[in-house]
Amino acid sequence: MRGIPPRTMCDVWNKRDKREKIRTIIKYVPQKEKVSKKVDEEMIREVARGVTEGLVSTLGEEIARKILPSYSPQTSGIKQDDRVQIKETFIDPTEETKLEHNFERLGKLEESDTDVHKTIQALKNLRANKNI
Amino acid sequence: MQETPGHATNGKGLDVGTSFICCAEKQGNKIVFRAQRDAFFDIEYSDFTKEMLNKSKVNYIQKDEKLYVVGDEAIKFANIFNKNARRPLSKGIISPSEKEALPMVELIIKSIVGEPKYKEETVYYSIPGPPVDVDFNIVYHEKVAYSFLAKSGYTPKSINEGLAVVFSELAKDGFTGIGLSFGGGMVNMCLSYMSVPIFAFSVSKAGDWIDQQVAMAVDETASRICAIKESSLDLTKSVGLSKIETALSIYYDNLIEYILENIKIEFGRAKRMPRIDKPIAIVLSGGSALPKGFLDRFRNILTKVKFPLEVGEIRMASEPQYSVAKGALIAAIAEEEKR
Repeated sequence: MRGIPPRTMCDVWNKRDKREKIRTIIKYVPQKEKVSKKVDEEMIREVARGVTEGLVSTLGEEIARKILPSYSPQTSGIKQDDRVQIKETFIDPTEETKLEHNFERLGKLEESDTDVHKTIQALKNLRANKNI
Repeated sequence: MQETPGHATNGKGLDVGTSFICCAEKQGNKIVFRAQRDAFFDIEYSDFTKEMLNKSKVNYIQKDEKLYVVGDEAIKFANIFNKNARRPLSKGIISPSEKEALPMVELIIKSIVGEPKYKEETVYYSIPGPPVDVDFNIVYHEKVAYSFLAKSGYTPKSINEGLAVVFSELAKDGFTGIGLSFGGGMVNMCLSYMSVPIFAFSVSKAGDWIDQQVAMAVDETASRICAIKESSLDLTKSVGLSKIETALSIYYDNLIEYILENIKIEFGRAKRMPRIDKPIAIVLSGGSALPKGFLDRFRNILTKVKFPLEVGEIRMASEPQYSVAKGALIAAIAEEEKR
């Protein structure tokens, strides 16, 4: 019996021997360990060489930032510590000094003729009594 | 109104309320209050809008790409756009959900309190009592308000809101009685015996709660309900009420019953109660107690409740919306005179 010829992609795949299957997997599936250990900024720039000159550094930095957590761009003067500092400055309530506004004093004024002098004296006398 | 000339006494009182921030200062024989609605409304920045606001003398703060209209105008803008104004304080404390507004709250407080007359002038600022019906504490609010005032060069000291009402209104009763402040975010209560607070607490149902409940019932915005409540509500009326007035009346009753029930519960829990020989006075204050007929409503409902203390006179504060600031001012001046 000569057998039935393969008809689907699945049949094609099953017909391949083990070595051929591995070659195909390596070719199409990204191998993390392959890049993560050896990759550096230079290598990324190599990959990006085909791209226009202006995009190279940005792209390289972007890729490096994504795959290397410890990466920080040489060109930028900002260190990791500085970034934290910026965040702290952002939540500092002293930011009020930077807010632009169009008023000096807020609030509606109202006067009262209530005499609080006696109340204050009464409160002071009461509080001075050490039995309380 | 112009600034009042006259010798200003050292010490200031500040009511940091959910609806209003109010500062009291003694100038000559008068007390001068400076009150500002504690609300803002954000609109997208454009040069044209900014120009319009400047021409209309509407107060605003510019932050990032937005213009924040502050004060009464915020409520007007909210009503025009059929939205709710934003509140940097919620339920009596600096709102955790409005953290981005923190610098604006600071700016507003500073612009109301002004500069101290001398370095480390005493300012008493109000804080709510421990809430009995919600799970939060007031430490954050107290510390943030403290830092704002200390940074401005004051010596800030906190005072319970209910006790401030007692200082302001119960001098002739020997500072003995119950001070109740019906604010926007909370109702505060303090039982004081000869100026010493016996117990104090707050509940999270207050004016804002009424606005929200009524808004839901009649399908309106809370800002619009608030505007109606403040401008025309008459609790003495029992016939010919509109749908909104009927809902407001129902929820006012509910609020008063809720407060009295909580006072009863807290009395039951209190361990050290002084023996008070004579009937105690109750003073009502706060912006939510302003509608006509509120005092009678309170009296009527109180007669139906088995109150644990013998109650004497029940009265409204002389200036309900300023009682807390005035009480804080009295505490501040008494402190200053001790120096």
